[in-house]
Amino acid sequence: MRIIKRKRRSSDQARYDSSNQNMNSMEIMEKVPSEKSLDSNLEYIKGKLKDCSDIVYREFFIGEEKEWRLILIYTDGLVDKSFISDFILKSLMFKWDDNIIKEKSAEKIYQNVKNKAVAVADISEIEDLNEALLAVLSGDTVLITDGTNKILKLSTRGWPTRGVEEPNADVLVRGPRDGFTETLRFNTALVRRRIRDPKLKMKAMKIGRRSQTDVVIAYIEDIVNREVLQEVEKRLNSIDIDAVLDSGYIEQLIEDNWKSIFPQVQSTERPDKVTAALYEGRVAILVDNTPFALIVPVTLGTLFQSPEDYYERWLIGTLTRIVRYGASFLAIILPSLYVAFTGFHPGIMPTQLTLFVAGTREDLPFPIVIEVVMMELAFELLREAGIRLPGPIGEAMGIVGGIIIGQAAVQARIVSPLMVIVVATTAIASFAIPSYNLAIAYRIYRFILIVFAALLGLYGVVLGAICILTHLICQKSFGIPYLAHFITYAEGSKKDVIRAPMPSMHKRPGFYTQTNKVRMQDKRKEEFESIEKGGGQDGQQ
Amino acid sequence: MGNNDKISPYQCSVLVIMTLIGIGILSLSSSVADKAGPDGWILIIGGGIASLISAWMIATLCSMFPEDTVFEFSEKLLGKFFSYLITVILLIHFVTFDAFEIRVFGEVIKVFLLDRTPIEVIIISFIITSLYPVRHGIEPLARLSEIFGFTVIISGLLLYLANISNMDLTNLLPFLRTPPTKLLTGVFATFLSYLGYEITFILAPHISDVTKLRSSVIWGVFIVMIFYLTTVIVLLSVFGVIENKHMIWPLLTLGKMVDFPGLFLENLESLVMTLWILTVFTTFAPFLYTASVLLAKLFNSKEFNYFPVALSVVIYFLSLIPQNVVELYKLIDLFSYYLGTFVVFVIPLILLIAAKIRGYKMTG
Repeated sequence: MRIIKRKRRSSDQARYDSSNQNMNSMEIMEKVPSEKSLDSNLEYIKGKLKDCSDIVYREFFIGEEKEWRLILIYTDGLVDKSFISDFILKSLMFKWDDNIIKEKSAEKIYQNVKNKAVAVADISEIEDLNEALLAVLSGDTVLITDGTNKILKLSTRGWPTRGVEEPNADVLVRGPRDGFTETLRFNTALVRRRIRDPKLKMKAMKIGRRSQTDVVIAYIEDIVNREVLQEVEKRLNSIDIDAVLDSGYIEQLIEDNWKSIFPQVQSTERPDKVTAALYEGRVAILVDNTPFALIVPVTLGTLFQSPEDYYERWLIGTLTRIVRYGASFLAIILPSLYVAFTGFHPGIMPTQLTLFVAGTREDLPFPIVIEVVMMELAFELLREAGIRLPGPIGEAMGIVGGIIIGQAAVQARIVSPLMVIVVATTAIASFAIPSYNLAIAYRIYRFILIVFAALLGLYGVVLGAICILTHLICQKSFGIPYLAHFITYAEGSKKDVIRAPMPSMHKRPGFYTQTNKVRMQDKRKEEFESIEKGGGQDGQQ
Repeated sequence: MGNNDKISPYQCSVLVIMTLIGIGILSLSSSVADKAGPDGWILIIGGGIASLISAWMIATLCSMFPEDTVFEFSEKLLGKFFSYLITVILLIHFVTFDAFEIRVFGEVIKVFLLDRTPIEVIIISFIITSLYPVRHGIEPLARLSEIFGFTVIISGLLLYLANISNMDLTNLLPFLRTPPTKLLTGVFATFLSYLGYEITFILAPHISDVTKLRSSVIWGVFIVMIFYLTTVIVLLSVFGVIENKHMIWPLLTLGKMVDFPGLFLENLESLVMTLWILTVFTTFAPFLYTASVLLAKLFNSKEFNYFPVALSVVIYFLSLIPQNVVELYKLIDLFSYYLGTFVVFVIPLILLIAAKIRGYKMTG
């Protein structure tokens, strides 16, 4: 099997290599200079787009006696047809000065077409047939004029899209409601609307040999960490894949350590989250065809943050942060601690508690480990089933699964009621973590720790925790330590562990950026101090 | 060596603190009560001062050679033969200490947590876990120490606070009734529970600011002295001298005694146990790391990853040599009396004198 696989891989490689020479990403794509004859250009394009039923060729003549031949090529469905009819075809066909045609100068006609006839906001001139092909496939319209090798690329993109809606994954009570969509341009616009600064750069590139997916690297020039930016560009450039269907592909191809369970790239649907990250000096990667933007580098502390922490007052933010830290502790360790204490060392718990636990576990058929794993798996099953079902049915499913089966299992004396409480608490705790991929990581570690606890009790849990901690300490995301919020002494890093009062957060997290650290000046503080001084004096009098 | 990041002076202090606090702390008060009765806490101060002197010597020596570990600078001072000899002695010291440490650890875990698990399993699982950070280098170890140190010291002090109602300071009386000769021999014994700062021998190339090496190591030892002192005073005043003498691990009993009326916080033995596992880990792993570095130097090898594995096999077999706990403690005493003293007093003294003669000066 392995040999066959390897062989197939090598033949795949060969195919890629050969396809590299024909049709490839913009940088490597071979140039095919266009010719003066419309027929030969058309022949090349038609040859390439053979059997593509969605390509439309609209051939027409201009001039009273149909002297001059032009052709429009576009992909049906990707363009705004009424736009083409109203602003391109109409003006080309009817508002035409016959004197120019009579001169029979191809160059003059072309210039006239370009400057007077085509009422399109975004046009460009190309002399490369492969670029023209790509333009057609991207939703632009290509206008070829006979007698000149210059081809006009007219931006007529317009396809059915979803509007800007509230994101499903990161929901906030307070904060902007707009979310990214599947169209890259809308997404960049949503970011640009929040950063009206010429320093916000959006470098475009294409990834995917066949999909030619547009990718934008966004950063603020004078805040971003140069090394991180270079690393991002290097890793993105090294991607060589045939298609990118979602930013998840890119995430997995640029992350530092694919063996790690913890997410090393942050993904979000929220433009405000992306913007906040850019202002911290991080780099955002926006990908066409997906509402999920990627943000790098990421630290564990960042994954605990929700935009709402900053929109609400600091005490509320601090409280929710602490709740999340507690929740993540519970989500990882609670079931394994339960296994360790009840299964291994009931003697070192308080006496009352030991007796109580023993009481609930009276004549249960399964050993404690089986019970925990069974319940955790049942819960995973419920969650997975609930996701697949449409909204209302999913909720009903949750009720049936969670309440009815849980209750029945306890009454039938298959599991102890305490067990149900433990598993339910763990589940709720894992939902309290704002980052979905972090919560998944916790689920996996929870099972690993249960195994540790089943083998070595409390000692095993401690060993497992040491392993997780070591892993987190050694982990880096684009050169930034993964635990940077908690263990580095860079300026401004500790103030975001809990959410410090807004007036005191004048610095960006010091580990993300080296150059431009101050984000806020302290004018109000001085004002407050002077008022307080004045007030104090009044009091004395 | 995995991660080439340097450690800060603060991390260096924490690393030293956590390396010092190890298996010794469980039995500390019973051994000092045995030697000096109610004056046991004086032994802690005496041992602390002796260790501070020794740590001062080692750190001064190391900060004369900011680029070198003990292997290189002893060659500069005494020549190739002695550098090999000293490195081998240090290696034996670190390896045997680690082996005894893990054996005692295994025995305690077996008694308190896992009475039906074979001790081999406990030891092997511990060694494998510690190989993970050791192979990543000194920086992750320092970070682990930092996180664990914070946890251990804060919760330790909370534990002592929780026992404040059980304390009876008259247990520390009569004051200074122990004969001075007895005190002196006792100091010698307690000073061995401070062993661990000798990892400084290899720290100089890894610290970001070598001029602060000496102060950070000395601060580390000093903080441990304060912590030990608190521990011993609390334990002596809670249990009294006689009880302390008879208990093997008084600290665990202290965890058991915590009792807040009306709260379910009743038995904190598991908490003490957990914290203690962490402290043993942060002693065992830096020692293993140091020993591996020395071994790598001996073999003049750039590849580091195999040495911890090889050494951990040796440590595993060494740890199983003593037949029982009594024999184990006898061996520990024997080794730490002779080898330990030699390593932390004689070697640094000889090297320091040689350095003075050859006119080396501290950097900064």
